[in-house]
Amino acid sequence: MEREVIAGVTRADAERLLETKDLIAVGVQADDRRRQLRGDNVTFLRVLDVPAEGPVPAVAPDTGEIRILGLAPDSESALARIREVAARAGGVPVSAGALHEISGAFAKRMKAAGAALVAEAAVDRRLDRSAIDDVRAAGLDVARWVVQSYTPLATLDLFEHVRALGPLRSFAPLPRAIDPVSPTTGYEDVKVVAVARLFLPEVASISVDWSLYGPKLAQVALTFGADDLDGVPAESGGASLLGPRRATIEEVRRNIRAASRTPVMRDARFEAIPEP
Amino acid sequence: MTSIIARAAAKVRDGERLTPAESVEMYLHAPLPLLGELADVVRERKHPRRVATYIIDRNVNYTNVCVARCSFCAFYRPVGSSDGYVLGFDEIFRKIDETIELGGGQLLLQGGHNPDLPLEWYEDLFRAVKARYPSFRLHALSPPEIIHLTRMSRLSIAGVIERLIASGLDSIPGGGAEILVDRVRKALNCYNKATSDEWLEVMRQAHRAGLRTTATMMYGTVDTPDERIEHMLRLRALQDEVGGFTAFIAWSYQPEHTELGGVQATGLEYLRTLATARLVLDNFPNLQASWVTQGGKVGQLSLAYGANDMGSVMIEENVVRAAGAAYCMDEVEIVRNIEDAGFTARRRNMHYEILGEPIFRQKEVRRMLNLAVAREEGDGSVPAELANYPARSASEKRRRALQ
Ligand code: SF4
Repeated sequence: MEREVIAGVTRADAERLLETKDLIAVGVQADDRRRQLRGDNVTFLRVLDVPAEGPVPAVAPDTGEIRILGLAPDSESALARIREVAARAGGVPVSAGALHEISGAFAKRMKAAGAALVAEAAVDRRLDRSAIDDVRAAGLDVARWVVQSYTPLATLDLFEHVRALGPLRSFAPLPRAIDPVSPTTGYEDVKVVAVARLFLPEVASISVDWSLYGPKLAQVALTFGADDLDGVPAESGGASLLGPRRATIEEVRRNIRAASRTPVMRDARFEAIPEP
Repeated sequence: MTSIIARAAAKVRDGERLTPAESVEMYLHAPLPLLGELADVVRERKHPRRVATYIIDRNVNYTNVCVARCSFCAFYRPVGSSDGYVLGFDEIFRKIDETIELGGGQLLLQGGHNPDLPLEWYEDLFRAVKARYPSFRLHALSPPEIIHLTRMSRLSIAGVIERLIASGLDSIPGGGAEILVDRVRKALNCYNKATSDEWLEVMRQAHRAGLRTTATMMYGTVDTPDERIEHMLRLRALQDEVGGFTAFIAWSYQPEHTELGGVQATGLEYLRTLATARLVLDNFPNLQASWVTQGGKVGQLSLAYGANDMGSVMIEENVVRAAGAAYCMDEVEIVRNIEDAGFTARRRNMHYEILGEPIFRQKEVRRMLNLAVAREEGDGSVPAELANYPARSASEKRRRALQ
């Protein structure tokens, strides 16, 4: 069945929505759009963060992504690390690096070493299409499209840039850099999520990072247009860790259900992970 | 939408009171945006011109020693515990000095039910505070602490309140209400510290004595949605009768390090509870946001779901922190959140009288990025003045004998 084409709001509308203090009205609009586009499923991704060096932790079976953090000192060690992690991944997609650091040639080598995805692409890096095309041509996907920081670019300038990137599987509009002295406010966050949902119909999922923004804000964002929770920590496997691991996953599911949505665990490629 | 929800929504818009059945239906089944929209209608009716208030005060817990042993509490220590403390009068004076320096004019003073602190200790403390700081306010002793003092002193509730007022008590915080349904109180082991009727009776007597008080609700333990509504309805009935409540404050149970354990209610449940309270408690003038338990972000969102007050800058907090939550907002941060939500920020006192513009816009005030604690870790000092009061617990008698 063909998907209904849903137009985004205009820039002027989006500007007005970002300015309004009528939060509930913005939420209702974004929530309607989310339902039209995505239905009532909320996907969530459990990520096992692995440092650039040191022992590779065991991988629990329902991990959705293994993300190699940080930069190895040189490209050969980075590739060696990808090979090492991929060998122990048990089929879980491995991601590494940031799009602005990766050339097409290096992307091919990453792919050959066993990476499935580039871990993140920060849209505020003003990535041009050729960088994306090169990485895709190498057979790598991008695990998450994020915003590092809104300064000095205005929110809607960035969203227009996202639009220009063409259809994306997901986009996380809340900035990853959080000022501890003056963090963004709840109003700002949920309005940015809502406007992203309304302004960017070509983006399939609007994502919020569970670890970075916390369960409460992430859950409220689900009623303001978000339909994906990224960054749910996956502990490494092993019986002794079973307790906290189950606790987090249950908390995520409980929060999604309490928002009247259906939780669906996914992997980094947005493929559903069947419930045990 | 059910016809009962549509009817209830129309009643709220017309300023009519919700019945118990309508209240439960709204809480359970009304869409959250509708609850928010209606709560905002009520907030706007009671507080036009989008003014949101806050208070600068300090939440001081004078002792953590408690015989009540509520199963949801991570703060208390049993009598004789090496972690137990009682603050000395001098320590409390120092906290007041810091509070005044930050623009505050009040202590929220609450603590455990410590058998070695008789009524006279409180009277002496209050008198000493008022002698040093005549205009400083004491918002002190929640109803279960007053009940504890009636048992220790063998005085009536009215008698204890009268003596505390005579020594300097200005108002009573609405803590210790948890859920005013005795089934819940028994399950949480807090029925003995104060039954629902006792809690309400303290507030009745306080209001009759001319004090203003707040009322709280801690939900998310073993309570059902109907019991939360029953709690609100009991408060509404008492407010009809005596009218001394200034504000209602709801927060979710914080499970970490408690005997009861379990999980915390979610952020959306908080917003739903808050908005419903704004509809049900039509005779409460103010609704406070609990950023201490919900975090600054959901705390701020509360302003869209019926709250008109961001609570306290707080300066110090021990009880919620003990149960795992450690959020901090100083005045600059609270005002930024209020203004970002499109409200005008105003400082208030406990009576919700507007005191003026934010203090930091009038004078240099240091930023406070962490909440203070009652006592630094490892400080096991025992205040000298405790010796002026008879010891009642065996452990305190032993300690004194060894001195
Ligand atoms: S909640 Fe209060 S009365 Fe209950 S144990 Fe804690 S300190 Fe004591």
